[in-house]
Amino acid sequence: MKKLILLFNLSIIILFLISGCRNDSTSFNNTYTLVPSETDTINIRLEENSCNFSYYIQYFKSGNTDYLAALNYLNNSIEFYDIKANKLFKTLFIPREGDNTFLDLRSFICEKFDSILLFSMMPPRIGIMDTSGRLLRTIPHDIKIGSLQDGERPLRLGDNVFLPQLHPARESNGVLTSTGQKNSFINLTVDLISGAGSSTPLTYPAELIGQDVSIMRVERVLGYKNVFVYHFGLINSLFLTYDHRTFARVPLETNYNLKLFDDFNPASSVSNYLNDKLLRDEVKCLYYDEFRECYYITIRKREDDRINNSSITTKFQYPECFILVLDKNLKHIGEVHFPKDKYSFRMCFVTEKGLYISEDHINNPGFSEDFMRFRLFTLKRNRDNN
Amino acid sequence: MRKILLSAFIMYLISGCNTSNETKILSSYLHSFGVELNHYKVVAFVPSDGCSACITPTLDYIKNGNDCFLVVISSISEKTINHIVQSNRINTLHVIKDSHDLAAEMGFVPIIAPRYYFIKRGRIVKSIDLSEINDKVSILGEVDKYLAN
Repeated sequence: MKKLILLFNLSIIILFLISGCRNDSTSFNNTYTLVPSETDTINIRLEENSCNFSYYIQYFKSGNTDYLAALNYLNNSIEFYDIKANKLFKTLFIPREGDNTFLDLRSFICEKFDSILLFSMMPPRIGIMDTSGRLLRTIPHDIKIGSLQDGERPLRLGDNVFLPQLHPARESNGVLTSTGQKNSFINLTVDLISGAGSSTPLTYPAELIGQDVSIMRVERVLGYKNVFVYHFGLINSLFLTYDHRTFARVPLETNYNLKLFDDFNPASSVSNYLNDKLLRDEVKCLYYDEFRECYYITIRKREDDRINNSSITTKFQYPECFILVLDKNLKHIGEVHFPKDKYSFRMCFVTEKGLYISEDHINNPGFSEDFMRFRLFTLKRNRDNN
Repeated sequence: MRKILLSAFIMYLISGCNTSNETKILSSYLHSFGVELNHYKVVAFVPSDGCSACITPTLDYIKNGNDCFLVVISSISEKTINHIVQSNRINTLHVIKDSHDLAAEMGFVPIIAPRYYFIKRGRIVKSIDLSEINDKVSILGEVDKYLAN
């Protein structure tokens, strides 16, 4: 009998070791890393009512000038910065009153100065404005869309814009039912020429049925060869589509022990809920770098313990993130961890040179509300992997 | 029976200690801004990064200009506070601008909505956290009545 028990224990140990080996075999090489430039920085003195934090920024090039456009939520304006000259180029104030109001401006797309697309949620509509502030056209729609911040940004492809649709499943207390899932269309496509809007057939993945999706974030980006890449907040995978009819699923490859939020059940209070959320990792934003054909994914790292309520706002506004670097096929090629309290990961953008990350973390020494600062990070092959 | 009475008494003492302790901390917090708690009957803490629908009724109420109503606007961003004050045309006579967000650090202000403290002779007698109730406006009726007494 003793021998049998010994044999049983031994088998358990061997099984345990084998499973351990299996985990090791799935570790990924950090072939690439992001290297901070010592000299390539952006440092802009801000106007009195301008902020170094914005819920929505966008880089674009016009002629030979590189612009960073930032939504100023304080005064409902879009500020255009010439990032080579380190100065404000123009401020476009969006009306808060009258017929042309975009009181609840959430995001914009600016590819050319003569037609800036504006997106508001209340009322839900798209506006086309020129740089003189003249509203050329409005396109109303009646679909409940996402918050349009960070990774929920509207995407433009040709004459179509793609707005994310929200499905908080209120009729079933936030829990996605199978009927709800069938109607959980994730995209509202609006034709900018005709103004017609329609939902594309793709819905939330079926594995979300039975889960609380009431405040689940859906991040997305337009990637390699115009593929739409999605991340659903509760699922440890990325979802790809070209045709908006079917998804291909790609596991999120990382060496980090990712623990996403898996329970959106209401906590006893907002602060408890937010504190619960901080105990889990969160995919914050997906960026596609068309110049190097790779993706950067900012992931907020979870806290070890519950934190003082006073720090909650700071933790969400200035999340401590690492960046996962994936190749054009969404395969892991690197992940980069950063010093604490230095970078503001909700303010990142990609240019021909590389990835710019804001250094305006509120706890970064030298932080000043009067300046907006970014540092360039370039993708480099790790020496160990040459 | 004696044990029950003793427990009830201890509970009473504990709750009494807590209340006076909170009053003490609030008083000390306000004192650091040069303000005395016993000058006011209601103190409202407003998180400037709170939801617009949650904080707007309180910001509008400030315009009534009652000398016994104190408002603390708290944020990690001084620019945000200044913007709120300017855009709402708030008279800052009875307003504290806490740009270090100390109020949050000390637990006076919730994350998304204001908290009201009702004061009697320099002591907190009640507090209402608007983030825990849906109706963000009817509190102002209660404030009206309390200030009128």
